[in-house]
Amino acid sequence: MVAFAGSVVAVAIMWLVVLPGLSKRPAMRERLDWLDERGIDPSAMYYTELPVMEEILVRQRQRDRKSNDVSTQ
Amino acid sequence: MQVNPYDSPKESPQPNKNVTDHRDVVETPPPSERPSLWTEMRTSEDWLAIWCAAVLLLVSFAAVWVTRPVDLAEQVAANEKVAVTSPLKPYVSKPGGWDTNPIDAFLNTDDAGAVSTTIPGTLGVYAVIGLLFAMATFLRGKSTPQFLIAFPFIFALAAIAYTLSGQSVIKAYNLEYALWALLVGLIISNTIGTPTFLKPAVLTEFYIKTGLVLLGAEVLMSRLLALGLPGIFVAWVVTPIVLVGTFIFGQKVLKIPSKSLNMVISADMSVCGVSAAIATAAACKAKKEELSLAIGMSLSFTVVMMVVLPMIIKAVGMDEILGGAWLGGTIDSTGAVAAAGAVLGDRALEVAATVKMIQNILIGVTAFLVAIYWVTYVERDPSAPHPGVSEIWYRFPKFVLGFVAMSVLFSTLYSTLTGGPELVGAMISGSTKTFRGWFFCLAFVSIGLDTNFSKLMPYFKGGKPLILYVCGQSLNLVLTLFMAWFMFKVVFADRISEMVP
Repeated sequence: MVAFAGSVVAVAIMWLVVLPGLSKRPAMRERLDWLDERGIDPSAMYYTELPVMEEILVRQRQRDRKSNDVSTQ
Repeated sequence: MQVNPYDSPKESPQPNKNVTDHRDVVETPPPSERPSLWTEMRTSEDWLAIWCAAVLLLVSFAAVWVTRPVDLAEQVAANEKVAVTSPLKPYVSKPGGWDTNPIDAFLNTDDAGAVSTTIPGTLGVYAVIGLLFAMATFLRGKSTPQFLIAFPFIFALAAIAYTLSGQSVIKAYNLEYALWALLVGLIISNTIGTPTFLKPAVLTEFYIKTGLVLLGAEVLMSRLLALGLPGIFVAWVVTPIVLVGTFIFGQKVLKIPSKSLNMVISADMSVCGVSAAIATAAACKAKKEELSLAIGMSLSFTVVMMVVLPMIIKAVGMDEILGGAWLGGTIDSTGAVAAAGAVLGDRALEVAATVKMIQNILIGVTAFLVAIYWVTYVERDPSAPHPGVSEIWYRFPKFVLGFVAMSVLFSTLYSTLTGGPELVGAMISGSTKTFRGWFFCLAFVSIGLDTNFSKLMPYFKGGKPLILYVCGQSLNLVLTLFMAWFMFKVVFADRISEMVP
């Protein structure tokens, strides 16, 4: 039980104190904003979880449809 | 060893008479003692995983289809940006990102600044998975009330894991929810021990298989051609060579005792990290500890590679298209590929993310071929004759068929329906990818709850898994760079500006 309580306290300190503190630092803030602006979630496991991928796919689809239209004319 | 009676038979520790001394060889009962196909389809974990996922996909696609815009065909014909959304989206969600206050994980702010909460969506997922799995538990002949008592706790642990993974610094360094779900489970199992009443909902394989069948709908074959032939050569020629080469290196040179560990590390390093590791581990029936180890190594190397590789590319003055293709083919995780590609520029980001997407699609083929190879060559007694078709069918992990079938079905809908990309995309982004994420998160919580740290230690002995990863990744870096250069700078050099304007 002591080990469990110790682990929970360690996790709480890390996630409630250390990581929030890190995310407020200017260099980190800049990186987080830069990722947000580009729609990049570095923790995405699969391409469907990546917000920027949707934009890329829409762009590619519009290019394909346009070139298909040109080739059929 | 403690036995979880709710595990599938394959997952429970086997008595000696069923497994020979060689750990990979599995004896099967004679045909007369096997359950009929009909019985298996109603009661086996593999088939029930297929049915659960199929119900979710059917309902999700029907919801999008019924509510599609009436002028969808006209919008597509006019080559406009088509907006199709799933009406299920508000009822299917997960804790999101947060900076300093974890409560923000349960709040959503849209583009207009309106704030909503993810709690109803999280409860919606809880209700749907709880109901589906309660029915499946009943069909498997296990105690449904015991499952219903345990499931809220397992789901709450998964929600905690999602909340931990949503912290912005954690997300920025590619530390995916799988890692935190494992941690949550490990803390409990290695301190106070996993309470017995939780065991009926600790269903690692069942969650993974259901999640994988759902993932099948995201494996859309038509996206293979997104970058034309150069993309296919970088992603689909180099990747299998690295996968097979690393596996053979692990067996013949390093002599890694566990073939399944060797295969899972080879796949997660060469294909696309955690998702490939999950699919391959299920296909070759790897141990939970082997999957945990492979994922831990993959995430650790990914953090380093996503920072170091763009620095190298910039330092040597490599072209951004070539650099993007190299990143896409080598960094394991999809999100990390995008983060590294964006450092080089927008065109590099597009090439890197698209090469990785093409690699992502390789998961289906990899899982299918690994499953065939395992039941045909690895699990058989070397002194026995080659297994016949019925033997291969009996041993084959049936959920892989569901995975492949969903990939074929949704690839066909994507290509043949008017507005197929928008309809299938809305289904995936509106509900099924969220369900799939929850299933994997529940699976990793379950793995943590079932794992003792001491069981992980023997795998590090001699550092062989680490050597395997480093050697395989080195081969991957060299071959991918060569193929990317050959395709993007030599063979198709004059057409690249058309492909990536």
